[in-house]
Amino acid sequence: MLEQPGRIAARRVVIWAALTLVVSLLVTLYAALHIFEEAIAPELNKRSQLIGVTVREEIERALDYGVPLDSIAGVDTYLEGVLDDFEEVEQITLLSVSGAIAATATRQTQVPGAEIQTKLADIDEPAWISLPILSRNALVGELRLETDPKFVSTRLRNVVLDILVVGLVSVLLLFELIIWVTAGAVGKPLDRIFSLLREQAAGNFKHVIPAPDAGELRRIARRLSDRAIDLSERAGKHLQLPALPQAYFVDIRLPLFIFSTATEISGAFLPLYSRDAGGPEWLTPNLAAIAPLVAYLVAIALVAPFSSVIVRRIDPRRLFIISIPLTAVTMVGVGLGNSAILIAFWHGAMALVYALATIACQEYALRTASRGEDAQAIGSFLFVILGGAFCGTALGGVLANRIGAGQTFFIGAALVLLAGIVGARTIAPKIGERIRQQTVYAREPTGPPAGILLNARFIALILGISVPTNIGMAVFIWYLTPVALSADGVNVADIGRVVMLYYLMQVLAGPIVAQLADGKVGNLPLLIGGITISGLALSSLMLWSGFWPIAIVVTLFGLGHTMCDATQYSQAIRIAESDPRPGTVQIALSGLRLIERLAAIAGLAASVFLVDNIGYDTTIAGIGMMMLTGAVIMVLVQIVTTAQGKSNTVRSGK
Amino acid sequence: MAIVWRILVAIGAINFIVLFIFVSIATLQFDTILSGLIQERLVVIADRVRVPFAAVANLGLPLSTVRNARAILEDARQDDSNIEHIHVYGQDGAIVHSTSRTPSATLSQTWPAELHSKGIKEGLRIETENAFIVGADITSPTQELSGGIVIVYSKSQARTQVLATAASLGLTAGLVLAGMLFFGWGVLRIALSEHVRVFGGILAAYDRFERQFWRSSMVDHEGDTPISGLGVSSSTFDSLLKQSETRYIDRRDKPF
Amino acid sequence: MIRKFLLIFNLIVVSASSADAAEKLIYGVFWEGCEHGCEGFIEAIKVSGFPARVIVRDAEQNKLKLPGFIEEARRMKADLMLTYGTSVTLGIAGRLENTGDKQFITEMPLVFMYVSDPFGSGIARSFEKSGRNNVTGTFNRVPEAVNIRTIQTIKPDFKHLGMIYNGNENNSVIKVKEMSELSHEMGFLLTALKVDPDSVGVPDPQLIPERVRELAKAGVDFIYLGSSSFLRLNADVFTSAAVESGLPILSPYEEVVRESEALVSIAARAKDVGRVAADQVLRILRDGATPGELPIARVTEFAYVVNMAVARKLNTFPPIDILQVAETLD
Repeated sequence: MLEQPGRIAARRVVIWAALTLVVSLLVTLYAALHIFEEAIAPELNKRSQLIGVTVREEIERALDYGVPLDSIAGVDTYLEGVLDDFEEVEQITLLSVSGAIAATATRQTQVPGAEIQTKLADIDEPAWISLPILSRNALVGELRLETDPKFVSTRLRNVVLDILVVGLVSVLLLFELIIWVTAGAVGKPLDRIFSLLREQAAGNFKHVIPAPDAGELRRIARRLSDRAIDLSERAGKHLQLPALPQAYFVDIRLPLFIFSTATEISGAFLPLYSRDAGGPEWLTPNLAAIAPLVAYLVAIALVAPFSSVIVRRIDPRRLFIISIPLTAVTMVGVGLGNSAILIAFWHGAMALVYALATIACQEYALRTASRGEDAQAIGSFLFVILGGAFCGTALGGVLANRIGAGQTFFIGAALVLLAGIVGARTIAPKIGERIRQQTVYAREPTGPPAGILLNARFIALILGISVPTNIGMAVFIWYLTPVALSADGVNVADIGRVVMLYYLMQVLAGPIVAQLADGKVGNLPLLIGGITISGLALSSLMLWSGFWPIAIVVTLFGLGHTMCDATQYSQAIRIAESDPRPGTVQIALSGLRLIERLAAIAGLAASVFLVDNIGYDTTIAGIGMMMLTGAVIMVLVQIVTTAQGKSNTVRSGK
Repeated sequence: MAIVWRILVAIGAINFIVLFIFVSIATLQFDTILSGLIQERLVVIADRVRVPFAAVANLGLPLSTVRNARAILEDARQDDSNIEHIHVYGQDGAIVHSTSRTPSATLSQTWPAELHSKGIKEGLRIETENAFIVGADITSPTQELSGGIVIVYSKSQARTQVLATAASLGLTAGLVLAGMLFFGWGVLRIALSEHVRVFGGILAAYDRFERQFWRSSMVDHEGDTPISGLGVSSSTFDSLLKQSETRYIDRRDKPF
Repeated sequence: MIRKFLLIFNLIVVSASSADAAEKLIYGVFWEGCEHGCEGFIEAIKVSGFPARVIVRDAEQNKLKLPGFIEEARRMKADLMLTYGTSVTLGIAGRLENTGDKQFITEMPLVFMYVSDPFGSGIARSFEKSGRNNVTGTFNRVPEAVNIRTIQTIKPDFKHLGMIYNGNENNSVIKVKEMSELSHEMGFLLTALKVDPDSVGVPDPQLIPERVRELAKAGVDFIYLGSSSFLRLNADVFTSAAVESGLPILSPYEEVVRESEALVSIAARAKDVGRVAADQVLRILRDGATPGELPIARVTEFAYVVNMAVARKLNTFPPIDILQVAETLD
């Protein structure tokens, strides 16, 4: 029998429930699309119509003044002015009643020579508007307007994409809610009953199961609990017996998801918000824009070295709950901030507390992980965080547009409190320690446990995987992609969608990658594969650039990063556990986190300088090269240590 | 069966929450989209109104020179009943012509500067609580700002449209929820049949145990076959139950 | 005794206040009669309610009459002199360097109007201050660059400007000089012909058509009337000759478009000019300002007036975007 029988039961329910709900969501989504398009279509047409009508009015006025149609002075310039002012007008022609062209203005397409051919080959038929021109009730000519159909189709496409994003957010939320509910109704009751039975069969009658925690099986729970209560009463102790301590990863999913959504609510607009807030003279707009980002990274980097100490002293539940009000306060601070400096300060403070909360959750995840499922534990943890980040970014974008950036932060703070309330209910106060894997070394390492940081494999992991990947994320995703796309003339909404592709990839691929890492494939192939894919993708930007190439590269980097993300933590744990000194796991994890943040900061700083000197594309390609080098390092170190390992060590366990 | 009900109620609640959130966010999105479209249309009007004033400015004359300015503005204003006011302001930001009798009440001093910083193509686009403010600037041949046009457009009709859309979405969501509850019942019955069986088996084993306990009969009624599934087996449950009961009785009867 | 004292006291007070309440005398000298600007001025004074009497004197285009007017104004103890036109103003107020010269009005407050170039003609120093204690005035012309740009928008291929000018009128000559400088700046050719090179007095209007034909032969695209009362008075002859030669005229005087056959004018409304002058006068007489401290008042509203009948004859039309604000006449 499995350790957590409830899991299988719960999983099946989750799948079916999710299916039902996703179907209902899809139906609603489709209906919403329909409703939107119907409501918007008239408005879309109004504009083109309006352009034609007002131009015609002006021409008719000239005619009323007695100016003959062919002699209207400056009409060519005038029509070209119309083209300049309205991008969707491709061609505007004034025809006399005989059909002769009195004046015309045509937009120059990129390839002037091929104009005629492309027009014939156009799949989209250009939209024609034809308006008769009257003078003193006689038809004297015609005004023809040709509009670019892409104008309407782009806007409709945007509508579709916007709704899809909302749909995705709903799906993620739905998923988390189902998991939570199913665990409570199906999974945990089964587990608890069996665990208590086993305890009591071993003679331990110290625990009870409160009836609500047992779902359908509460009759059994009551009976079992009664035994324990009876025994304790007979012994003369009238204490409240504690509930069976059971901790599952599921406990932190929903609170962490809400927490992550709340803290990432500013993802779409923080740089702009900060830049617009301004500051002292020496703070250029670009500096103001990245100031909060830098503060965030610095704060997390500061916390990282102490994280091992912190989790040893304070249990995850208490740590998480303490961080809640503090996080809410810092978010209110950002919302009230009226200068980039203040905003950066409060955002940094938020990052500090956020780091504590997420370290608590990560610790919880690791401790509740089943044997040999480290990557999946970290993977699920990352899935929840990234899913929340995705939802938060999307939600924040929509909210900020309507109610303003400042208010959006307050809503974020409210969500943080909600996360706290949920977490207080679901997170278990007591969890067991991790089950360490035992290894026997021929040589016992000497020195303090911190020496794990000097382990060759660990250093290779850091240099080969963590550093390049984090530089890639901070520099390429957070900074260069928005900037490069913006320089290409891409609008903010589309930039946001491209960045979302990165997170989406991580959310989708994360669980599968984690299972492969823990299962058949193992950590190293995924790490090397992931960094290679990332490196190749980024380096390819030397050969091609533009909107779609960047979008594809972002997606591929998302995949590559996912292959490395949870896996590198799992690998770090494995390297640390191969060292018998106590506490190496915590130190290794802290070291990894710290170096990740430092790499991100250093990368951002260097890139600001590099971009000015060698341009975007070259900088991105440079990072790609760094990644490929990392792949080589990993392969080399692996060959070397495998060779050493074969000759030196005997391993036990997995 | 109870478990199916329980899950159905739970996912019904989840569906409600999620659909509610979806409809809310979608409505906000729609509001944004509609506002964008309306403002784009207003830009057309602002731009066309700008033309005669720009012609005057291009010659080098002050905008106050346009004698029939009021008529031009009124003409444009009457094209759409939602337009509250149209203002023309000069180089220094003061209003030169307007459809309103008390223009200073409606023109904010910051708009002229904002308009100029945005540039000709993008124009001014501000949303206040009750109106859209859209503007186009007028530049002289030397690229200096000569002034601009500002249109103040009431949001009331847009608001009605958004509410109507929200109502449609809400109705759809409600229907979907009802449908989901209906079909969900059927789906879950089939999907959770295993769960029903297993949980039922465990509860049956428990009931047997209880009956044996109260009847004090040591005869094992092995009439019911053990159920197993979902990684759980009722025979294991049974043996654990008996084991723990034995332990309990031992402890209870132990003298102190 | 007290009663007598009170009576005398009252008489003094009454006579003093009635002296204050007495009308101010405004002595206006006009180059050729009281036209719209003059009418606008008189009406504006009346509307203001300020007690003032306006005397109108007509120079009938004759500079020699001006000293007589100076003498009369001094004799009548006028409170203020109003001068219309460059020639009159030069004759009555003289130039900047004539400050203190008894030949001219140097102490009585003087307001000039319809001086096309007060600075070039030496009448005033700058828009901020006239440079003379007793002199101020109004400015009612659009900058010449505006006129050129107007011509450019009507005829995009414009390259060559034509002018005919009256050697007898200072303003006319100055204007030609100004246009000549502008031609270098804005890159067009200028051909300017004196109407009557042989005469020093009032030119012979019969020569106008001849000059116009010469301009046409020289390849001129557009004619600018410049600044000349003479041409304005002979507008019919001038403009019909131009139309015959197929040349459009831009005139700074609106009535030449309205009542004759000039194509287009961008000018201040004559009534507005009169009103602005009246405002200046009121500032001096009613509000007690010193003329020398007042800036030269500028008219800000101009009318773009087009004669569509002429436009059709010449097949030359103003551009479509200006039509919305132009005043068109058929």
